[in-house]
Amino acid sequence: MGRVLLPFAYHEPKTVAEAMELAKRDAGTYIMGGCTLVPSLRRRQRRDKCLISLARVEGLDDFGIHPKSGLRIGAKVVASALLPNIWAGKRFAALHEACEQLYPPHIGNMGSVVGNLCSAVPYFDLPTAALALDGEMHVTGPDGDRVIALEEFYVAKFQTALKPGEIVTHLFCQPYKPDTGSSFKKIYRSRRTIEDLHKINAAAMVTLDEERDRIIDARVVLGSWGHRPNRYRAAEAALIGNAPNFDLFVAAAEAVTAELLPATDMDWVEKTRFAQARVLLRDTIAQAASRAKSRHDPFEDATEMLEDAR
Amino acid sequence: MKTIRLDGGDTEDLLYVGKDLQKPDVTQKVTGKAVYTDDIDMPGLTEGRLLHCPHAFARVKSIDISRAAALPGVLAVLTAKDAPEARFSRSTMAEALPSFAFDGERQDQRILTDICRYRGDCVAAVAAEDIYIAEQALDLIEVEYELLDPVFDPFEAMKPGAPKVHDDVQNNIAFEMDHPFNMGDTKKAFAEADVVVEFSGVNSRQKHLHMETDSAIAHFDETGRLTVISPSQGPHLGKKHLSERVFKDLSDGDIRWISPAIGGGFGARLALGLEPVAVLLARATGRPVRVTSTREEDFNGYSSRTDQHQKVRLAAMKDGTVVGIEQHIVSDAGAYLSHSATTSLVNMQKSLGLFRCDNVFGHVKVVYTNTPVTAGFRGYGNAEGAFVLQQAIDMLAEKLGMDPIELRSKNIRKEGEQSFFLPCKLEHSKLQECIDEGAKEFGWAEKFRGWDRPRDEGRFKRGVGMSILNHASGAGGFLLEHSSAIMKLQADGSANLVISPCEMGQGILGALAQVAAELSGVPYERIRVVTGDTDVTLFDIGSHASRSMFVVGNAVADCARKINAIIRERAVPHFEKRQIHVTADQLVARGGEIYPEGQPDKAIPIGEVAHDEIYNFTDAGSQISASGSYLSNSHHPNHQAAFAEVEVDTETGYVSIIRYLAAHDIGRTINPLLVESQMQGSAVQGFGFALKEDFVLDQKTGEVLNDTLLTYTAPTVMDVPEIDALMIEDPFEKGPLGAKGVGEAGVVNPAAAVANAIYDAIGVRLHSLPMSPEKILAMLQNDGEEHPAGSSHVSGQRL
Ligand SMILES: Cc1cc2nc3c(=O)[nH]c(=O)nc-3n(C[C@H](O)[C@H](O)[C@H](O)COP(=O)(O)OP(=O)(O)OC[C@H]3O[C@@H](n4cnc5c(N)ncnc54)[C@H](O)[C@@H]3O)c2cc1C
Repeated sequence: MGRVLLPFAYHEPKTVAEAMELAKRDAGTYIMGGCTLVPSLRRRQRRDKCLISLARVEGLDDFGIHPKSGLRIGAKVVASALLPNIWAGKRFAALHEACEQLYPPHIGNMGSVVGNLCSAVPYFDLPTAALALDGEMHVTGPDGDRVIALEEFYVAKFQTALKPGEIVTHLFCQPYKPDTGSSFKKIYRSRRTIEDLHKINAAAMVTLDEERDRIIDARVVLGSWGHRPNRYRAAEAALIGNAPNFDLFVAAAEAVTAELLPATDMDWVEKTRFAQARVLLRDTIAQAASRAKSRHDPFEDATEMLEDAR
Repeated sequence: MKTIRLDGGDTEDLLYVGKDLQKPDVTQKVTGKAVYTDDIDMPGLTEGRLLHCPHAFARVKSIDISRAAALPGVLAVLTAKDAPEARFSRSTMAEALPSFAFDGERQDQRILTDICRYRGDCVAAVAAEDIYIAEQALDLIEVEYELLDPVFDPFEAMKPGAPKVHDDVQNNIAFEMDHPFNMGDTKKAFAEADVVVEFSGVNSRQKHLHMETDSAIAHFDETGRLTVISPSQGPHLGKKHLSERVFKDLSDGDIRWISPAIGGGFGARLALGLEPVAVLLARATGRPVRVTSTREEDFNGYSSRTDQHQKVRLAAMKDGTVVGIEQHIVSDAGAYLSHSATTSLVNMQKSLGLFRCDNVFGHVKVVYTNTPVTAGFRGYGNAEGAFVLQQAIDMLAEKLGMDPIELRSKNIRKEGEQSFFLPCKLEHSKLQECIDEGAKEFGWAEKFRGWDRPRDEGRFKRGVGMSILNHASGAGGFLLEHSSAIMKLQADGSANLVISPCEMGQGILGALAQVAAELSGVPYERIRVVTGDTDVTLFDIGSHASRSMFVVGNAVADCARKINAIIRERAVPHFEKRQIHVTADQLVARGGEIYPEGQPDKAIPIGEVAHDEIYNFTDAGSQISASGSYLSNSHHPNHQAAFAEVEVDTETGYVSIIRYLAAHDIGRTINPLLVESQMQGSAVQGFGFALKEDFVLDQKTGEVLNDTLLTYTAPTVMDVPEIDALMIEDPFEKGPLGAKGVGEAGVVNPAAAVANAIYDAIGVRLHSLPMSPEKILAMLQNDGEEHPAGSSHVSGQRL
């Protein structure tokens, strides 16, 4: 049960080095917006005695989103910062949609994207979306810098591959290949047992060939099912090489649900959970494919227009 | 908001009433300057915290407080043995009833307990110099529990051999009663009827979600007198309850109760919350103590709607005349009774009283389980009942092949007939007009495509539904429905209006000041409202039951009329001085001025008279002041008809409300902006109740699974459609300037209207709230096959 916070030491270092030094000296925990950390401290799920705020650390506020250079979101960037960015909306739609749909929406003004990803909470949305975009975490630490693909980032519930003292400096996603679209969707449910989660979320990325009539690459991710979001390679394989159409999306969705295990022993609950997952996956893939096909993309449009004018 | 004025209202010339005037407390609220209980500081203030039991059912075998007590800064650590033996109900409502009512309302709770009946029951209390020390001390209290087998389901709890939540209660039945207005012979009526329908269902434990969680300060002054500061919706009753039931050594006058700014109530504050434990700690420490709760604690133990499992049967003749109604309720009180019996009774009163019918039978059982305590909630049983009853009515309409509007119109009570509160006649009802005008505005005739129409093709299907209600404007004749107001004029002609209702955000203080301004002659902007201190305000049973406008408003009207008369009388010499010879009867006091009727150019300011009455060295001097009172002896129902259009996504089960319209029988709108806000706010709360809000317990551990706003999803502004409010105005002669209540009604219809619309869309009836996507999907996968009656269970846990 959430209780009153117990007192803790609090530091506001100015540099990454200083932050890491403090973390080592006081066995401190990094904090950004605190949207995950503070509730878990209140619940006594954690008892950190020293918090090191990253809010004043210089160099963690990267914000670069461009179709040619990819997406770079520094540790200090809050989720709502992505919303007005047109490239985020068009080229990294899955992540944009996940940020857009944070519920309640004002959480996006406080919670950081990286903090959301580092929380390793099984039902958070941003991990599902970022995984579909092949996101990677750029990390600096006492032993130097490294890059961890999101695939390898989630170790267990509430646990990431970060080593003590390591800081994620930014999230990076490669620029889209041509004729690619992505999408994110979620649906809320009621929890039924302690182990249950209260939603399902899904994200997909689909790339089409030059003629835009065959899928040549795909990511299919389902989250809020088990302890971490997962890519479903059988579903991806089912998509690749085929023409995008409704039946194919249904088949891909079925390929995912065939691998899933029920979360409770309640029959009707599981029946609906599986049905919703199927629809969610089908529609998410369909939307990603439709975006790839329509190439609804002002940058490309502008380039084409320029070429036409020439 | 649109208003339809039935009598035209042409001859009126009102200065303040009917206008969107600003609430008096709005500046403090929007600038963050309003002072809530948690903002208060005072010399020597200490902070208290409670230790909650982590088990659903357990006996405290031993408790060791020595380490906690030894922590520097800790002032007191109390356990069950330090708390009064006296048992009390959280609900203060019974204090507004004759004393025999206590025979029915079990007083069953102690401030601190050694038998923990739900996860969250209070085992120990700590007071310390600051809240962090208090919190740390909680961790140092060592408790050894003996675990008992819990029971979470009211039907299981009634079975022989089920665990006993309270030792002295057979089969866990805390309360059982027949509807007081049962009549006729339902058996015969059902046997002889042409058509019979039955429907059963249960509502969820909706949370009040008041933004301010519970908090209380208690303080004994040097004379030993107690001051309580807390967000109470009814401090006068709180005071009586605290002295008569909890601390029997205190008497009414020993307690001063202050309600500062209140961060929302919705019925949760009609109860003793943290006040008793604050008093206990203040006694033990000899210092002021504040006890505070977190949002999660609020979710786990504070209060929610009572889940009422209901079975409704209706019998009718071929022409649609309803000849029999039956309602059986089994309510899940949670671990203590609180308001669960009274809300269940009110459910019966409203449900069984909606239609004119000679054969009526109702029965209620309230059952203890090892779940958190439930409470009163906006609508007070009516919203719980409507969800089931209004679906049954639609089923009847379908069987009869009648339009839902026609069936309802045929059976509702009309003016002059008995009201749902049988001892009284229904003096004023514009329900028929609400139905007719609402239907017209909504376009019901085009949108409702009949019972046999084919469902829409494709994934998304649309449907429409409606629901009607009767609700009280105070429970006159039943509760102690009197109130009083005081008004006094300052030397500049401004006034203080002293009234009792608590301002929880509803804006009642402003609306009452509008009544005072209209009738006294003092301008609205110059009336300062004083409330929230039992040493200052006169007795009143608090803000609930949509009573404040009607009951307190009438007291204010009485008081303001007296002030107006005094002003006119005392103004006579002022006109004499100006060589104008008039009697008081020939004068008009209005908008801050006094003038002879028809001669506003001769006006003098009220301030002149008010000033001279105070600064008067002759023996005639006295400040202009008056008090007014009102006793209501009937419920004077307000009514509402609501219409909903929904779209169901048959693949995910998701329901979107496309349009919602509610027409309200208000008598008169005192402040349209406030009324519209009530209509909107209550509809949104109703949509949450209908579709989203679910208080889910793990059926093995009793743990609340969604005790944060992250997992308990209430609707936001993005989840709701435009809400159309239609006011049907027809001033009611007994209301203040014709007004009736409006605060609660709007929460009653949404779930019922939406349920009926869902049926219209997909041909499936839902038996439990919320009508969440997974339940809709499960029903659709069942090919719409009906679930057996009575199978809808606990808080949406099952279908
Ligand atoms: C009411 C509410 C509703 C929410 N709704 C949603 C929702 O609908 N969907 C959703 O996906 N999420 C939701 N969230 C989660 C929210 O988005 C995350 O809590 C938030 O984004 C986390 O970011 P933060 O900056 O607050 O992280 P913090 O709480 O400050 O940190 C989270 C964790 O990450 C670690 N950390 C943070 N930054 C770094 C770094 N740079 N390097 C290494 N470790 C780091 C911290 O040590 C901590 O363990 C909700 C949260 C709340 C409270």
